[in-house]
Amino acid sequence: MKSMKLLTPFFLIGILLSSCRKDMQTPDWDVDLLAPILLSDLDIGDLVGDSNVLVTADSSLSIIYRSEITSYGVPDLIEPFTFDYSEFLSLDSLELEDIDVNSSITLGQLASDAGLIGQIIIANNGNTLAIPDLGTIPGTTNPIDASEFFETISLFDGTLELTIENGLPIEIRDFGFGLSNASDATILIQDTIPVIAAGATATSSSSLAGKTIESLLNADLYGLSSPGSNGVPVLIDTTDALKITVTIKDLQPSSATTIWPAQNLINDTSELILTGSEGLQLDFGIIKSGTVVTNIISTIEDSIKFQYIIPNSVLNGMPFSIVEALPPAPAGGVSTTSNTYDFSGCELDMTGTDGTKFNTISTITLCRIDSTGQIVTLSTEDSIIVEIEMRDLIIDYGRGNLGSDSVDIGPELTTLEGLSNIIDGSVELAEAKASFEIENKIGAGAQFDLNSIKGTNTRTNVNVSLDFSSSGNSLVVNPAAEVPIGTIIPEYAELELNEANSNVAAFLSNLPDEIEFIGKAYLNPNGPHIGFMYYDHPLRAFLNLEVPLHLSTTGLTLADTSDFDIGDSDEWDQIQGGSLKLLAENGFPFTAVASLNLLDVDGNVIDQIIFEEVISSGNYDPLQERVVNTVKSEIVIPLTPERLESIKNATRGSFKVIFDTASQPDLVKIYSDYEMGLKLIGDFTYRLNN
Amino acid sequence: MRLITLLLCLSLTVANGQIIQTGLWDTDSSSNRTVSLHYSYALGSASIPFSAQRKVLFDDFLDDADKELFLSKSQKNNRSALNDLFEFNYTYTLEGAKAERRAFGIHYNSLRAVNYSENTLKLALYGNAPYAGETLDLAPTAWWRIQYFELFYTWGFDNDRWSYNLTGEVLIGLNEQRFQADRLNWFTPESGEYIELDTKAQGSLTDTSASRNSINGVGLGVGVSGEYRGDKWTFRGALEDFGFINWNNKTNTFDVDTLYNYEGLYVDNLFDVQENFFNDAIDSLGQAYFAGEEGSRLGITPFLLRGEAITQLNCKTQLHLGVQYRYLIFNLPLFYARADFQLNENHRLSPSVHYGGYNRLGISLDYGLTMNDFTALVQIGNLNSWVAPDLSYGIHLGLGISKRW
Repeated sequence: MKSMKLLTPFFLIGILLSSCRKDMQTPDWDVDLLAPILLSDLDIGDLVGDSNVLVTADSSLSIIYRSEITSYGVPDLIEPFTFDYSEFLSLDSLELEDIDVNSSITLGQLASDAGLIGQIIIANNGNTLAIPDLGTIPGTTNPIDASEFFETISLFDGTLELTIENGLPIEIRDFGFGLSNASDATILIQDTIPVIAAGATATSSSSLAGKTIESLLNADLYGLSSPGSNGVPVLIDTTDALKITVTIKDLQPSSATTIWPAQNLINDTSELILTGSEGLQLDFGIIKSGTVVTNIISTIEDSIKFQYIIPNSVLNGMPFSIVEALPPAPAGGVSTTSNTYDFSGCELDMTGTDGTKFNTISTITLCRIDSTGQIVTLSTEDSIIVEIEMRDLIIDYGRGNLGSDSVDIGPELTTLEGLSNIIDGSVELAEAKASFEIENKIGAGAQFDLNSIKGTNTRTNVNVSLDFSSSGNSLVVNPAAEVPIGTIIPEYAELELNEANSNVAAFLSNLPDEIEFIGKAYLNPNGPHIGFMYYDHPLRAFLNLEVPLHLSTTGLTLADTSDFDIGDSDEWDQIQGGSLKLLAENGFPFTAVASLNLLDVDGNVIDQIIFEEVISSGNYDPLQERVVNTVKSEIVIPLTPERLESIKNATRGSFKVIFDTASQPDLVKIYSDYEMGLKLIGDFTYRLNN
Repeated sequence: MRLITLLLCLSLTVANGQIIQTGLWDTDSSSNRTVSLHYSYALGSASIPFSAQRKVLFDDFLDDADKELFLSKSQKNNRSALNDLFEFNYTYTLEGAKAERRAFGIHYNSLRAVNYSENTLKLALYGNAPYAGETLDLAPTAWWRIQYFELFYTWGFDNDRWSYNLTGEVLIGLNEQRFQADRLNWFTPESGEYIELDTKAQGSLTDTSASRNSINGVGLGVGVSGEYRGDKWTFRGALEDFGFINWNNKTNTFDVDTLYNYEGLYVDNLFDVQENFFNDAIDSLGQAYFAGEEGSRLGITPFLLRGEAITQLNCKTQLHLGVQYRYLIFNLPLFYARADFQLNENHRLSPSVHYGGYNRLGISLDYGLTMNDFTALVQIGNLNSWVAPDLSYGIHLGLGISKRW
């Protein structure tokens, strides 16, 4: 936008001329400019801060200063707390499902080992025949392959059960059997059943405690005998069989390489105790901010589902729950996962697992494997390390017994905005008053003791302390109510200070711009109380000052501390001479003199542009006691070469207005429609430099 | 020293513009290949005398006498312009092709034109203070400035009587500024409390934050020219540089019809002025007035329309009668009569007299030197500006060189 500087015609002619000489400097020339530069309105709000002005019934003004001098709430009662939870969890209760392996010995197999009689039986397959005594039939070994179920299982305990269903038409006697690992012939079970009648079932059980079962087994038949059919003809069917079922059950493995069923490896219930809340007994809380950080380490060679639940909590309509999936750990290694979760807004029941405690949060930690159909090795030597950190938790809302507490407050300093603009002069105050006010939004009673309130005028370094000797220095405020929950009905207490019970007029006449407060606050001074507290709604103490603008000022000087850049502008270099003109339209009952100080980089005044003519006051009607007409003033500031040089050298400028009511013998009221319109107009020779 | 610098500068930046343009139709069709470079520069005004324009060229500072000189011949509507154009052309023949003549090359066009009233010139030269209390009618006020490249390819067709050329162009836009005020009344009260602009205006600016040579638009253009060779006269006609450029979406376009009252930069609280108020105060008017909408804009290029009739007066002399018009740049169509005197095998002299363009009456002289297939061309326009600067309105200079095989 620099190319569009100043005004359209000058820009236009610049375009033309710059077109003419593109590689050389275009010529300069001087023009006489008459142009408005700045426009502003000055009202009493600009001087003392808009938010501090109160319009009274007759449109006159009072300045109200309401300064919070201290507050007391959740941050003072509960420190942000961090909770670390770390647990080493081993797989002490691995579960395996029962395993059934079936085998059989047919009549044909038995007959083939029974000599001539056996051959007769085989030859009569399908016929009816009275089977004679078979005598003793030698044993055999049948392999059993259980590798579709497991590879190896080492057991703390377990049971191996052998069930023999006699499907033969003859009685079996002295049935000797055993079960052993095929690799090293380790015997797992060995027994003899004296009699199994035709069509009957016999069972034998044996403990597997301390044993290791392999998937390749041998079923050993040591031998049997049979009296035959005792002369009764029976139908010969060589496929009739002794059906043998091996059942491995009630397993308590120490380790196994197998297909694991879905199961909870860890199911742990714990309680967290809220720390940093001594004296408070909260049974409910809402978290304002904080995070939950998890770090899970596993040696398990299977996928793990980790879940951390706070069952008695609500976040987004559900109990707070963290679910994480850990990939299988490599053989001999570990699998880890770390995550951070936002805990803000979580509502917590703090009565613990049994609902009788306080400041206590119940938690559940679960680690689970899901059946994958894959053969995986697990051992009770495997473990999971769970590390959970609740970090920087801040309570947004708490409910319970808030206890009793006391705290020393201060010295605390507060700046009175607005009064700090008054840098010189004196004010005659009429009907000034002050009050000390407590606004309580905590569900607990409180007492405030005022030990000292000291006002300091930092321009003069004079301070005046408020005298409470007549007014008393203690305020008690009742607990706030919460009806319904979430809606606070605050309680207030106020100590009014006036000229009768304090030195408030002297305090304000000092024009303090800084207040120092020292005191002591007591929470529930009458003993513990069931209540509530919100982080954003503490108990607050205010100092209220009300200054009716019914005053007389003498050389009252108002200025601002914010300086502005005036000299660092290329445009000033272009001004060859002329003047600045200030047009003021004054509606105040004061005369005014404005000044502009030019400051160097060190803040030293290098030129003071004092408008030599006073800005006239508005026309004041003593009968109506108010200004009835504004009055215009024109003040010309010559831009001499020396002043222009000062402007160019200045890095900052400071603006100041001095009001004087010397022309008004009586106290005058300041009304809300009083203002001063200001226009700064440039009337100078300006060198256009293209 | 300054004169030498100026002449040196001008001779190095030879240009064309108001110059009676040559171009492809002057290419010697008897050669198989021709390479040519040409640069031309032209400055002129329909009303401001060259003597005043020269002040801008020579002087560091315009004093009151210079300002009076500017104003002495200003009219209600003054138009000034400046063009400079650079051409590189390569022509060749392609035997057996339907279009035997071919050409390609690159042209750089920079054209500026300004319309301004006498009041605008007064305001610009003297400021508004002398006219406080008066309403100054500044209309008509307008300017147009455009810089772009053309990448072109031409197909040339011939038969016994006719020749014609068709040209396709890719246009690369650098920048464009345009402003057109249909109504622009300026009033400053004697107190200086405000400035009032009653205006109806439109305009646009391509990206002002971009560097001078950055590309801000692309477009397409066409050209067509034809020649009829009669028994005694040859007639030529052409439409050149006709195209559109789509300026990018950082182009600011405004269209205002308002009474604008400027009372200075409003400061809400004098006790809280944080910024450099003086610059802000000055910028605020321009920002408010020129505030428009940012977005792409399709703009037309300043095309050239021209026609010419040629006859051979004798074996060494040719007469050219022609007219040219450059859209939005010329004040008037440029009418001219030019005689080509072939002095001998190597030297050609071409005096011309012309009227219009953005100058008025002018006398120019072209000189061509041909040696060993090289031809050098020097064009000096508006000779009258150098001998009678108060009565003339511009200059143009051109320099070209070509080689043919």
